[in-house]
Amino acid sequence: MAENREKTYVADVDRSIYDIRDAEHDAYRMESGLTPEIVDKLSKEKDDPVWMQQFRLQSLQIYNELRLPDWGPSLEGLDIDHIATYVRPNTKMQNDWANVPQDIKDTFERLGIPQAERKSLAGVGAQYDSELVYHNVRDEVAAEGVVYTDMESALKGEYADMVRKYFMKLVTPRDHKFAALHGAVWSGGSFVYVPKGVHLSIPLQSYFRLNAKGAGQFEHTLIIVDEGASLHFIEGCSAPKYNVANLHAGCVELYVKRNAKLRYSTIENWSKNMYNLNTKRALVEEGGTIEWVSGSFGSHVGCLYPMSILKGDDSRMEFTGVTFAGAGQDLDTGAKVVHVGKNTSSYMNTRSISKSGGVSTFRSSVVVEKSAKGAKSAVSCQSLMLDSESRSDTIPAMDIKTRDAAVGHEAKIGAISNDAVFYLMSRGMSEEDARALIVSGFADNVSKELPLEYAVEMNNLIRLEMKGSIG
Amino acid sequence: MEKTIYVNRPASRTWNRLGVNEAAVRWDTDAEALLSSERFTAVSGENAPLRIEAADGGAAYGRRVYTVTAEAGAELTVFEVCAAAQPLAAELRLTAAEGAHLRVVQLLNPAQGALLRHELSAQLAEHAKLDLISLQLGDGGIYADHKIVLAGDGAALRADLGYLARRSDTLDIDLTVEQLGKSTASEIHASGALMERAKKVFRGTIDFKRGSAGSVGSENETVLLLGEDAENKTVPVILCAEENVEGSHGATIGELDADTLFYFASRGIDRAAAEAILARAAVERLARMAGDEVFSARALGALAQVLCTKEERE
Amino acid sequence: MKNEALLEVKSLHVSAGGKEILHGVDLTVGRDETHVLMGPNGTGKSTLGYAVTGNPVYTVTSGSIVFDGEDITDLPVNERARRGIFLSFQNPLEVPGVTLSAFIRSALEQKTGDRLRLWDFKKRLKETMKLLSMDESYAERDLNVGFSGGEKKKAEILQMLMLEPKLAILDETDSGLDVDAVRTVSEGVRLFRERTHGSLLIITHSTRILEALHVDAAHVMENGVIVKNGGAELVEAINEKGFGSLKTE
Repeated sequence: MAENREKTYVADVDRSIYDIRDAEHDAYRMESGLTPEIVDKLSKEKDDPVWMQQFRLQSLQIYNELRLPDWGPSLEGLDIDHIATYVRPNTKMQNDWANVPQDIKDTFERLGIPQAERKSLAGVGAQYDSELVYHNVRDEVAAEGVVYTDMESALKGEYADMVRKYFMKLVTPRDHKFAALHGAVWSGGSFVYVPKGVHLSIPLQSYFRLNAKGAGQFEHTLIIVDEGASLHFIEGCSAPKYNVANLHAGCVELYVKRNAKLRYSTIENWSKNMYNLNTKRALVEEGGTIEWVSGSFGSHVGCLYPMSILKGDDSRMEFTGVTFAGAGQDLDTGAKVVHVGKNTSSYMNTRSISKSGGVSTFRSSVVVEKSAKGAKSAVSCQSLMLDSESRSDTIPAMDIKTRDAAVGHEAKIGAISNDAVFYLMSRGMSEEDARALIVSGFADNVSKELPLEYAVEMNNLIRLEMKGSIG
Repeated sequence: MEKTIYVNRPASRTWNRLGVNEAAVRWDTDAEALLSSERFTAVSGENAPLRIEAADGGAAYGRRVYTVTAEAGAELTVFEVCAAAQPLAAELRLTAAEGAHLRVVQLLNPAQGALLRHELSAQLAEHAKLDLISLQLGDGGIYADHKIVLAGDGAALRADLGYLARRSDTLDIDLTVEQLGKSTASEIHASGALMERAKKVFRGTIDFKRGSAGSVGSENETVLLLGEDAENKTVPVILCAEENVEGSHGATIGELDADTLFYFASRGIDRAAAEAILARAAVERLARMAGDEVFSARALGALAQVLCTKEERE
Repeated sequence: MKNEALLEVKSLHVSAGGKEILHGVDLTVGRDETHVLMGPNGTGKSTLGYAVTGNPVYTVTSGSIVFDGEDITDLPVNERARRGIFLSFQNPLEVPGVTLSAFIRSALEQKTGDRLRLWDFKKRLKETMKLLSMDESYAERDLNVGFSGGEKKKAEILQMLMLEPKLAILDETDSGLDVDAVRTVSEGVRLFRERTHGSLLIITHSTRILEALHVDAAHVMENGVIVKNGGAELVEAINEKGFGSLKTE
């Protein structure tokens, strides 16, 4: 019997469609180090308003003061002084796909992005390296007064005051070292404003991609969903593979106003040399809802814990996540919530999978402030270990400061049930397929929440990860 | 001179802002004196219960060390009562050889405003077993650190922690079980109530090491929040480096739920009375589980002392 | 006036979760009587039991509940319990840390407002447990924790016998029990009637528990209203022909 129960050996993912490099012929490339001169130069190059120029320099100062976190995955492989922080691609902003340069276009074609847009998406803001190269919002969306533009334009255009009012107020440069770095060198990203009462029935999408080796990406996403409005925003990330460590320290700030609703979905599939140190945060006003749907598949090291501040009474958050850590990956993911308003509720439901020496950590923080009478919170996390070379840790924390709260937490960790594999094999399935099917089923909390084409992409990723030969 | 030292550091760290990565304690390391160090050995077969009474002996910053060795096949119950009016550190070092069965029934009960540190370490060989019943009645500050290593195949831990804290008491509890052997088992139950301004931290860590195939571990905590200004921190961690294991944890935190209130009320018991009954429940349950009249009387006496009102006390 | 009914439910409308479940229920239970409330699953029988007991999940939107001559529609649960209403739960709650004995004692002390003499209480509890063939050790076990289905139901009947309510509502007390357990529970219920002359409202969709009892009245509920009232013969009729038979009459 023992011979028959040997493990499924799984090859590294076939990432060839993601890993084709484009020739680097950038118009401009920053020096590697990070000094006030560089930040100033960057600011001038981008033609920042004065306040932004100062903001960047202040952030740099904070960056130099703050220390690296003393918890979480090791960041030793990261040497920020040798990462060029800004690479501008060889093209101007485009709003017509036909005008995007061919090599950039090829990349997106390979990734299937325009097809997705043609099918069901309201708009595509694709970021090639640090600048937005392709941007298009369908007419009907724009007609409703919805603003969807790149951050640089937003900073100078009609919405300049709004941007100034909200920019890095939720995630301040003081938050942690990489938030400070972001404040100093941020570049690119999206600005979305959904006016009062407008319901977008089709999702808005942005696609981030990092191409030049050793380049960091620091895009900023600012979304304001005004009173009674609703939006689904989808962010997808991918980067080809290089040997030099790449850094992504983006920042996402979401403002959900009274009775508004925002769903923010991410499928992150950075290449496996990426340090993904992204900061995402939502501030939810009275009666508002934030829903996070998050799939983490790529990166070498990932630290990602979207945070929700339930400020208004009756506001709520839901977090649904899946993390798949394979060979060479250390993915530290989870969510944070702070209950401030009365009768607020939060619900987290996550799945983690570890394989081939991968390390996945679920980390969460639930804080119920004294003011949050009647708060309810439930956290449920499950972890699956696919072999004994891998690691799976679960590190939740709860801090409850009012008696008038109901907080629940449950977690489970285990292996694929041999009975389930046996059952599927008895119906004619190969062991590999059986295990892949079980893992896909395990991750269905997220795939069920995604639009069809994304769910298909995610299941493809899982199948690729599970692919290999039976030893 | 007193300085701040850090105790109860768990195996994993998280956001510093949560204040759960360690506990800061004011302690005078220079004045610290070893008051006693005693060794006990239990031989194979049944042994008479061992009763340990750790008191401050009138000195501040005293340390008492108790080393208990259970030889192969030994069965021993240790009743440990730590009650101190001065800052005291007590240490219980346990070693259980193959097949030994240790039961530790402890009461940590500092006098009002006093500081009590307790460290329990246990090393369990093959098929050795530790049953730990720990009652923590905060009438001061309690910092309890438990590290249990299930080193041998088939070693097992069952831990039952019960607490009641009121006024501005601080309870800081750390329990880590490392599972190294194959087919080891751990089961941790923590339960208690926080009244008034009491603060409590409980970090429970199950650490499945590579090679601990076939092991199981579970932990759960139920916290009843009764005080308007009470604060509860719960950090239930599972670390896992082995595929073939099963781990789970759960926590329920809050005031009395609607079902409980309704059931009690349907028997004529109003909210205040139900809360009074349930505040004591966790401690009373463990006092009964102890199965020893002398210990139970001691624990229930301490409970009554903690529950009596300020006026009664004066 | 001593002749007045013990319980009078008048055109009672009850909602839960924004949905109306009872659409105008009228029911009268006299003193020293045994009533049976029957009907298919999901028709609102348990809801009526909860509404009379005062479960805050169920909201009385109109109508009234008069108990022992007093309108109790707005009284909280524990006040109703003190006045003598008892509900035997279908799924009794597990309460770790509180023994069965301590729980019953607290309930009795709340009712009388006096401290009980421990010796007298223990003696009475022991006797009553014996009547229900309950092992004495259950008294010192945590309430319902680790009890089997039958033991939980017995523990409910034990509470009823100890608290001696004026009206006991038994919600599916016989469901899921084996023959022996039904016999014991049924004997406990008979004793309650014989000793205290308290009234019973037995909610059931089977008739096994009724075999040892004299039934004074039977009511059939369907879709949130009482569709038929009668005597013991109604129980027999349903027993033989099922609920469907009622519609042809």
